[in-house]
Amino acid sequence: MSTTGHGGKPIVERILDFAEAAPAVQGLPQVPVRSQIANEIIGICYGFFCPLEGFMNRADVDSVVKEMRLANGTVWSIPIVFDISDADIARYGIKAGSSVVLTYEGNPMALFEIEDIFSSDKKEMAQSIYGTTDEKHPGCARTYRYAEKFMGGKITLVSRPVINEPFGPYFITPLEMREKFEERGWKRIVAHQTRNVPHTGHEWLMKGAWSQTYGELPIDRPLVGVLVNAIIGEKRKGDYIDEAIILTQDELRKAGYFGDHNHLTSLTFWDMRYAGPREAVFHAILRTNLGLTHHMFGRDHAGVGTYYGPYDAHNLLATVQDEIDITPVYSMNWLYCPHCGEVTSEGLCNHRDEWQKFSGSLIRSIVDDGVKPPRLIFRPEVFDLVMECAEKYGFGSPFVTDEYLEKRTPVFSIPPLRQQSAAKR
Amino acid sequence: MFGKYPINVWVNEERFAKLNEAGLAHLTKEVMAGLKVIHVYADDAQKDKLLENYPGAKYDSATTGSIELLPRKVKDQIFDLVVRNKNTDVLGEFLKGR
Repeated sequence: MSTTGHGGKPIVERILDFAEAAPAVQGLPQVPVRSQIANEIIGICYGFFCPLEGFMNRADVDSVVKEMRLANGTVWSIPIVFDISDADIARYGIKAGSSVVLTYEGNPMALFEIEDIFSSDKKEMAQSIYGTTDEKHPGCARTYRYAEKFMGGKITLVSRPVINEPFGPYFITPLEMREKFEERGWKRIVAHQTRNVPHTGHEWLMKGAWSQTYGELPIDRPLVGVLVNAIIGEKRKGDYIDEAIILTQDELRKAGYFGDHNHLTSLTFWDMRYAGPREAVFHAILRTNLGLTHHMFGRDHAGVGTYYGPYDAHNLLATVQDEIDITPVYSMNWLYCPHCGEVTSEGLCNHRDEWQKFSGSLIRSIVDDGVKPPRLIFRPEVFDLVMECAEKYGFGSPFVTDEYLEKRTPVFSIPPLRQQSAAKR
Repeated sequence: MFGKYPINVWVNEERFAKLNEAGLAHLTKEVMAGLKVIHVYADDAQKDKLLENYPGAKYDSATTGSIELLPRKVKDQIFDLVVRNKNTDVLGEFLKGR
């Protein structure tokens, strides 16, 4: 299977081993980074964000904002920026052409070779990326929180992240992902983007997309897989806890609603921007880099509130389809029809007056009460596991609370810079 | 007089049996694939008092049109009152002294 990523560039990991890393960071200023930046360092260095080799410089940011392309013309939809205050630039003595070591939770994480220090118009950035300057939009709010300057330049990991349990098996790098697909014999793989515990509406979205993806391929052996790629990043109160999301998605396979022959669960570190159409393009790029051939897009993909129309993402994707090496699979909603007595697609069933639509809010209300729903709308194994996760990881709740935010085990840690004895990832 | 702010109390088989015994099974409504709910209504003052006593709760006017995120034990207590009083107009009693 090809190791070519987005833009026709090969997936190359930017990681130093200990013997190279220790002298490379010796004596450099140490600049601490927050979790968003740490997530993006992992994205850059393992090739999730290919062809990026670092944080964007001014030319790339300007071009992404104005043209939805990197300066070299490659399609890219969301700026990947490293923001820093003037005070910190002075404190660490940073200049273009210098290098610093980025630390996370006190330990060296990455070498940053700074090529460019610049400012950018945040309102213009917000308008272009999010289609609004409304500070209530979470992406705009994130943009406005950026410090006054940005720094661009190459990033190289000097210490591999340790993925904490139960997430370990689900961190599959782009190069490892291709090996998994080879092992399974999959010729086509369709991505399911999620931040949810699955109800059967989600399950059928995946099953429908699997069927669409299979198309004309021979059916004498399994050739198509669904890759659940959970976005793990900044949490908001009321979200499902990460542990429940990743484990219940995998439970659909373990409990037999899918199988090893057609289902795999993984995660990507990324703080959602809720950029709707632009985020859909970003997701397409990300999953191209994971080696996928197809990507599900539902209505209002990665949207928030009423900022985007239901098909805005599909329309934007269509404008760059020839330049993105992944095929979109557009999904209609699934619902429960009491007349049919089954979960069905709104594109199939005509008992419109009887439809009972899945509502995330109602499902959440049911889960909150701890009342096990019928298996037609929520698999019992999934429900039991949600409750188990609430006790084991969520301090009694399957949803993010202040206590969870304060006390949870981080998804990954950066160990002190030393010879890592664990197997390389 | 019932208020206008429903609280969704979800009903499984065990709860349905208790409601049936209390003569209230007919008040349940099927929402999805046979899953039942019984609504307990709050008036304006009761809604405000609930949200004040349980800061994690909210009135979800946008999607469900109901008071959500009440702690599970609170919902359990409300359900028990419904069964005991054989009536869904129980919030006055529930909130007394709180």
